[in-house]
Amino acid sequence: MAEPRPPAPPLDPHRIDALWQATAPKVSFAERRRRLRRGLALAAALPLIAGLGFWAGRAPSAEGLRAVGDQVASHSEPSRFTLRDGTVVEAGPDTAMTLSRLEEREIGLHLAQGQAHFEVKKRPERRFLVQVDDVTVTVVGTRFWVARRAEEVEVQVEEGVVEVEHQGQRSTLRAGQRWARPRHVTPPAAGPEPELDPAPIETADPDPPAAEPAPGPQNPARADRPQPRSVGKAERKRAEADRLFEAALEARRSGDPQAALQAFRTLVQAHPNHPRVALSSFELGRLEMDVAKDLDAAVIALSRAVRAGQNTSFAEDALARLAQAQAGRGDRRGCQEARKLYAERYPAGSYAASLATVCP
Amino acid sequence: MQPLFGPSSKFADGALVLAAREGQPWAQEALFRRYVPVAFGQAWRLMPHEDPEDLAQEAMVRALTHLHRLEQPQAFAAWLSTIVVRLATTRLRRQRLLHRLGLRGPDPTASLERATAATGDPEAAASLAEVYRQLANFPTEERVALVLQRVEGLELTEIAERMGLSLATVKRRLASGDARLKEQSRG
Repeated sequence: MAEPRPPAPPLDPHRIDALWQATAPKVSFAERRRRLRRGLALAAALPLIAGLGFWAGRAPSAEGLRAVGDQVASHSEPSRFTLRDGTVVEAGPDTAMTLSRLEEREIGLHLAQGQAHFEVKKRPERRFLVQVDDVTVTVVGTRFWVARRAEEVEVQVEEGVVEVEHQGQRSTLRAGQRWARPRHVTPPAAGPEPELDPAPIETADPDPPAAEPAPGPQNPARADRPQPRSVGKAERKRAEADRLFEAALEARRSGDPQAALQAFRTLVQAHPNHPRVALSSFELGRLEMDVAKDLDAAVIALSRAVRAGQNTSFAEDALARLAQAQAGRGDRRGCQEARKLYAERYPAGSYAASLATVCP
Repeated sequence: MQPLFGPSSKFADGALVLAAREGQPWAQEALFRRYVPVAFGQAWRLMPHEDPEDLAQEAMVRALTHLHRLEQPQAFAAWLSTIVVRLATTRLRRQRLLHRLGLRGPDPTASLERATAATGDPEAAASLAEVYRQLANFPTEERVALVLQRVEGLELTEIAERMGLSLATVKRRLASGDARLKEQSRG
């Protein structure tokens, strides 16, 4: 086979122009068709929605959160529920929330732990608040998510506008922007340290730049905006995790399993919320088994991979590996549990035969 | 001066995806211009003789019209690669079927040589044409898995993600493809 990767003939800029000219109408047509379909589906569903609305009005039972003080907690699985006003909340794994306010003009949630995505029904007459520690996020109608992690509080806006208030300072975030500040730090009496100041990361701003006044002392409204240092920290952390993941893959490709092992270990320990943590845990488990010969560590990593990576392409392998690792370290019960789970999920799986002989 | 919100903007993929989802044409165009060469390169390596430009364009249309299905906006590149791989798999399957039914048009070998010659180096082009000629007779999934592993340099888990197969199945396809390659080199 040809190695390294053969270069494809280049696609010249004029050709790209021509391709875009041919593609743009197709994209636009598909977009219009999708909107039309959604509109038709909505029109068709109106009687059903009206009926459900009537029913909901009679029995206003939002799942989980009905009265002030009600709590919801998701464990290893994410959960989704709808509030009385139609707001849809998707709570990530290990997330805890309390309904702190339920009034005609204001609904409030307190995020005690974890992260959640909110799709808030647009109602100009009422405010929707999410409180995390001393940070308050206020919205009217939008989609956004809030995370309370060990080291920081983070808000990211998908659609619409939200206002974040922290220690008397307000920041307005638009679609595509995010805001973060470190946790567990008490600001000095003289005022907040610059590092603690929250700052929106302007990953996307749909408004043209001319609409925004320039920053500086002549423009206090803009100058009030927090400095980008703390946001840089969160971004740097994320970038560091991405780099570790790429470095680990690269080390594996180039035949350096020790380097891959170190990179995956660091990634899984230091960045447990990274989107590729399930895959990283699986790779780490394999390396702990095959390279480091540390079956205890392999079991920890593979258990995490099984928990976090359900319905992934490697889920079957992770479970089979977990049973083998448990057998290898002499944990008969752990092995049997993993084997049983494997048999339930993959009755005709590739490892069904080989697992039948471990921990009988 | 570079337009801040134009196609050549420096926005991250995630931000472009969010704006494109909202139907912002500049963001759709920026994503297209950023990624059509990437999609073309991968399409060419998967099936050089089967109009990779058309495949890349179709993949971009699908991606841009299904952005609402992308769960992690920043993972656009990997998602697009998955679309390219699955489209290529479908086309290769169709091509094999047509061939088997005797409905195949012109000899694909000639276009294969033309396609690989475009790489510039005649020697590399000849060996590349030979590789793809061998692969032409392989079952589609074996062929795609082999190209992704040996030409694209992807890890097994990445191949499984791209192809929508389990890791165990990918291993089986690769083992079978390897055996077939060895058999061909002996014969």
